[in-house]
Amino acid sequence: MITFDKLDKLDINSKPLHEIFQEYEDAHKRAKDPYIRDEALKRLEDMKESVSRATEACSFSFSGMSGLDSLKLKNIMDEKEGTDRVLFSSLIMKVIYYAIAILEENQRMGKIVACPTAGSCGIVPACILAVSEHFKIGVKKQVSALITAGGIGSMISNEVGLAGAVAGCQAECGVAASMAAGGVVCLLNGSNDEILSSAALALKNVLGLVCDPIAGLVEVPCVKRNGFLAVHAMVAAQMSLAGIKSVVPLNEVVEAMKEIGAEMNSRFKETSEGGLATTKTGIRIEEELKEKWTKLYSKDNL
Amino acid sequence: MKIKDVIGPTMVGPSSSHTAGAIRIGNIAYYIYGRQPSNMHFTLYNSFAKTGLGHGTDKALIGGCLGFLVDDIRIRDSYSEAKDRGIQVGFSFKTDRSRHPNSVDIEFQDGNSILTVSANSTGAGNIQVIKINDFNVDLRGDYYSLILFYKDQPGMIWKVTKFVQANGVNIESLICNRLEDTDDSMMCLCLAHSLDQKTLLSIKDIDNIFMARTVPALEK
Repeated sequence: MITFDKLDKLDINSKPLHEIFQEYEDAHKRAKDPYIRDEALKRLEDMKESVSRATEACSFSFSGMSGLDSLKLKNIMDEKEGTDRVLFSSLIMKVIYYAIAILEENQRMGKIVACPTAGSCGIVPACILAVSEHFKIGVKKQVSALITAGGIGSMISNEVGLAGAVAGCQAECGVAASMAAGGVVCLLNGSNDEILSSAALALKNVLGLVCDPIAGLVEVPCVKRNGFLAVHAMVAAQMSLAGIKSVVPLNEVVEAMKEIGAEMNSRFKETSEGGLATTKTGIRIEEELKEKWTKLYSKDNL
Repeated sequence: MKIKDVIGPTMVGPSSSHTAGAIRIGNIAYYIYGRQPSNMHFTLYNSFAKTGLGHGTDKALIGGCLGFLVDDIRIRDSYSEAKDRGIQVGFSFKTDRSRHPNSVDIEFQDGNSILTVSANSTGAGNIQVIKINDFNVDLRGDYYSLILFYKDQPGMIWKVTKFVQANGVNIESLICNRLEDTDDSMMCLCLAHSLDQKTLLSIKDIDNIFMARTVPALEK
């Protein structure tokens, strides 16, 4: 598996980052596994499929906490509500819209691509697909961007486990934003240094993010957070493309994330024993859901 | 994690541990039982019991036990899929600190035959089947596995493994269990590749083996 140490030993400017990642992954694959470019193409197609289903669907999640927010964004983008309420360019609007729509689809048990996790599955596809559509970028380049994003996630995962239970949300949505930023810079032909710098910028600015979902569900704050962090990734990519460098390199940011994750109280690591989960509203929703499900799953209803 | 694992799997949501993991547990149970039951009962423990319904863990387990894979959209409708097949489904919810946070017992019933499978969802879609009936096992879905139920007698391991060797397949792990006070035993072999049909038939024909099941390696 590719790591920061191994990348350090290679001549990083010899070829594009996605080629380095691709060669490394293929050289270490099991005989029966497909080549990473074929695998990434398949995942990209699954992502596109999930976006088209997500943007057509219109129903609440099982808990009723989410499901129709992407529709509200779509309405405002289609100017049904008038342009005086639109703050962003059509590209950024689409990034927010896709990210939230994919998470809503995940929440209603739709098919998604965990990237890196199910709870952060909206960020990478929203950024890569929206940017590709906006700049009319071909599939080949999109696959390279996805491999770039995957390589960044892979290097991070080999330092710290990508799970809210391990290091909080910084290790899920934070890493997804880092991956997405690198992917976008790759789409726009940024250099390897610019790609890694954008990934560092994105991750650096979500350090300490906790995982405190209401009622233990991948829903509040996860659905909207995917929208926020997809834009966060775009900001990092934009800064890097403008030539702004991260003062702290990616591997050191990951070290910091690991340290913070280890010190983070377990109440804020996917246990729903603190933070938003134990606010007055969080507890009320948890109790309401418990009551609803007890009724729904009583013997008579099964 | 490899790149291919970071940008995947493609799965039905919303949670890799509570949904994808539950489906994979169901898949292994489906292969172990090896036929359609008339009744499936699931006992969910701890976090599975507490937040499982909101993650569709119930639908994931049912669908998994019907043989649906992690990216099968029918998981969402697995209650009606079970009903259409005439399978009765039931659930219990328990707290037990001696069990893993995401843990389940699956009980299949058909007439008098009952099979119980206990498993944990250990995170990121990884799973571990820990018990089949009263026998301890360690199945993680990463290898093709052969599970044999038999009356113990001297030489059983040799009788089985010589066929595996003749087939040229490496044994990655082997667990044998015998229940106290009886000769009822179980052998669980995790193998590098699948066995050919002839080898399987030869193994099934060994005296004293009364049930043989194969579980394929599951995609993740």
